[in-house]
Amino acid sequence: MLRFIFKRLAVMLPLTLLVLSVSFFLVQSAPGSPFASAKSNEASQARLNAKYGLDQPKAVQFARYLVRLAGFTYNADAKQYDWHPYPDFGESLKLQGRSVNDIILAALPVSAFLGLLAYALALIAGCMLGVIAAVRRNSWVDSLVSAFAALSVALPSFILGPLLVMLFGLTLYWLPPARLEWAFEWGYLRIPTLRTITLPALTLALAYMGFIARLVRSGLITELGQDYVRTAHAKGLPEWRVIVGHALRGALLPVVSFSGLALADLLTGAVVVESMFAIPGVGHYFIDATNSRDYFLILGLTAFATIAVMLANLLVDVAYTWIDPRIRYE
Amino acid sequence: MKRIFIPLLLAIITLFALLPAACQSRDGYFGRVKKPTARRLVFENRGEPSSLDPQFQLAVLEYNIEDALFDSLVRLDPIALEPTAAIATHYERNPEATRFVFYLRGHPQPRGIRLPNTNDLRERFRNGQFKEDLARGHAAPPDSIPARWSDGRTITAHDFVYSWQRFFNPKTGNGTADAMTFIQNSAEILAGQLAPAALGVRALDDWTLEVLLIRPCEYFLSLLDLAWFFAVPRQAIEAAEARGAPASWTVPGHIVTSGPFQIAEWRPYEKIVVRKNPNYWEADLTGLDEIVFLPITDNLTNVNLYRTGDADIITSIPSPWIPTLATMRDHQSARLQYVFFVQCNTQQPPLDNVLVRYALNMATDKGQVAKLFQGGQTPAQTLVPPLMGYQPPSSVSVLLSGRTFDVSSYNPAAARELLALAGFPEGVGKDGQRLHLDYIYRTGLPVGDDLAEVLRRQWRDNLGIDLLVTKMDVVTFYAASGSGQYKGLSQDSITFGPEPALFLDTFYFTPQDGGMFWKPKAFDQLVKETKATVDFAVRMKKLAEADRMIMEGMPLIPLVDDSRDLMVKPYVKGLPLNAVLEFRFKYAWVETQ
Repeated sequence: MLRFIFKRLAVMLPLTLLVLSVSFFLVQSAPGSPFASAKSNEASQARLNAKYGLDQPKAVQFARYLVRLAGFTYNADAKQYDWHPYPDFGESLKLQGRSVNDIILAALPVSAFLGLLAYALALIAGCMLGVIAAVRRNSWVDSLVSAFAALSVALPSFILGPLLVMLFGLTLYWLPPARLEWAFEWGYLRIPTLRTITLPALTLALAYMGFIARLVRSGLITELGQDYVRTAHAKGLPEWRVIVGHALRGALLPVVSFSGLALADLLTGAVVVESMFAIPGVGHYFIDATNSRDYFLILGLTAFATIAVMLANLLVDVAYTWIDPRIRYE
Repeated sequence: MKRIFIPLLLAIITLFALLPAACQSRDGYFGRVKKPTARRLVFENRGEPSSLDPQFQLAVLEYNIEDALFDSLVRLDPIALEPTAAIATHYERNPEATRFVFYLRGHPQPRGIRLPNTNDLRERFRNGQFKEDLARGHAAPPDSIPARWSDGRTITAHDFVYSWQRFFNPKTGNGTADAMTFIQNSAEILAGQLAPAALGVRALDDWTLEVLLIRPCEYFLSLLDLAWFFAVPRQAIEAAEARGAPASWTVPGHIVTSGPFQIAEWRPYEKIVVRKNPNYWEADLTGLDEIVFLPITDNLTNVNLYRTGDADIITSIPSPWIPTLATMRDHQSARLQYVFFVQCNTQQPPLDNVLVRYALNMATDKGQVAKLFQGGQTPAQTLVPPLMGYQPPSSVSVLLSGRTFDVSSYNPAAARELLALAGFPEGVGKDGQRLHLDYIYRTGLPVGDDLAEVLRRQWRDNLGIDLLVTKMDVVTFYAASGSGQYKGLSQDSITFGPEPALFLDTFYFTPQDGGMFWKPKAFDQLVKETKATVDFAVRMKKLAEADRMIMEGMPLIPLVDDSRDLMVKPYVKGLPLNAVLEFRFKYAWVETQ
């Protein structure tokens, strides 16, 4: 197992590099310049291109980028390269004086916290609803859960979010309609207060919650008909132990498969929800960097999104072996 | 399943449909009105600034913060937009308006024309010129006391020499200086042909600054209100350069400011907090202890925050909300020096034919277009909006085939005649094909989609032509529009600050003359003359001539003169609206509990 994990981790580096290399040429081939505006002219754009080295041939720019990724930063005063043990993703072309590393370090924990919280909520509540619906299938409870699941899947976050804001923020005044406040701050790590994170987390979680509930319900119904469940019943195990200890494990396989992409999605920023609730996560940077052709920021964010997807998939593969002992990677 | 699902859905819809009614306040204000306990203003500022270095300023959202942080030689008052004393108290000017001498605070014997100060603003309130007392009982400080940076150092003429040399230094790499090359040698410095020290700005002594211009510029004082001419702190910038991170001088902890506030906190996409600068030369007048700028891009989120009382001012309201909010007591609106237009690529057929361009303008019902915005927008007759003492020509008559046409008016029948004259009767060409025109516009415009649809319909109904509409992201749009790589029409909007004549610069920015490929020699000459005319009335007359010439050449179709709708909590005072939508936070204050 450890060997498998190590092998997967070892593949991540070249894969990320490959994605970055393709992205490097793709973003630069998009029309427009990061320095274009209604009041810019050719001279000003040329000057800024020279300032950021964008006037050099693409191959030279790419080579420089790779050197920086390897941890070398050019020190203009000493006219030499300084090395540090982490990649340098360069400077943002739009946000003056802000390094891409710094931007990601500041924004990623916020997005990741929101994403993880939302996913935990969705997973716990989704599983519970799914179990209840499966156990009481074809009853009014099952219908209610199914209706809720259908609604939560059908309502996109840009509809659900404003509805929740309207109810809890603007009518009952229980929760703020947007913006986070911080309960804990330590360097780049920031934990928002429960009062301010509730609505965005709920908006994000509800969409996944319904889907998970449906997956668990259908999985559990299938599992409850299996021979091993009948055996467990025959052994005289109480109903809850049969479900939670045996059948649910098998029913969770599709949920785990679904979790891979969902988690990667949530970790790297839920763009719509972040914008709606004014959350200072990576979502804003994704939008603004793409819209303004902030090349180095786009690449830095792409690298992190790539790593997040691969890590989430690794996590899923490892979780499979825990849920289904028949799965082996050796 | 169905039995439960449908009633459940109906119940939810009904619940949420009833909610908005519960949100309305009974006292005529929108949402909660609760006076703050501290002298603190929460200002919705649209988005994240790309920099707080005034010499890199591009957007209004940056200007708002920089207004609070920095000061210039001269600032415009927020009501009449007339030059008032800031770091300079007096100035002299030669009759040609090519040499200006400024006397700074601290000068023992300032000469020349005294700039109006806080005392004069109070007088204007007393004699009814101003509706609001911006001075609030405070007297202007003596001119003999020098202005200071927030670190306590005095601001001298040398600081302005340094600031302006830095602005034009190509190594600064700001991308904004090309528009301001009227100071002696500035263009040569930008092009790298001369050293920054050759700039036509000299400190005659610590308190006297001389500025030499390459052409007369009577409105030079108004231009000093642009963020690019604010004083920037040499000590902080050089310290940042020594650290190897030149842009880091604007970060809290390193920044030194010259304005009424200093920065306390900057959290990207979250908030920028500025606090009162006790070393500001008129700190007594500063009515707020703290301003929180919210860089929130989602307009609906801003409306929500305002409604719950978490924001005191919102400056960007989604169009569908305007009719509802306009009935509230805390709604304000102002006409702006801002115009929406459609520009034509005059090199591409059929738009190379001026008759087609006339036809398009005359077939555009601009009243209907203005209504799309749902605010106080008005139809635009010409490029330059009729504000700040400028009166555009009321009609533009052109003689064609022995008949006179007012090409600036809405006249679909005449438009069809002109299109027929151009060889497209009923919108059909000689080859029997219906006329197609490409039309591009960008994301982020308030009513871009609706506008494109309305124009498509109007031109189809009035002229029988088809519009092929393409929406682009901002960067792609400017790449296509600015360089003239589009085939037909391109919709955009533009503003040029506190001087109407600056609208003529539309034809001088971006590559290829704004992408219109239209700049006849006579027009070029008239623009130069207009901008160099010292007498205001004569300058406005010439501007009207240039405006008329634009309409006769019709490289662009003016659509709508903009206005802006804002929501301002009733306890916020001293922030009057003006035609350039610039706030002067030093005059702002809030009624506290």
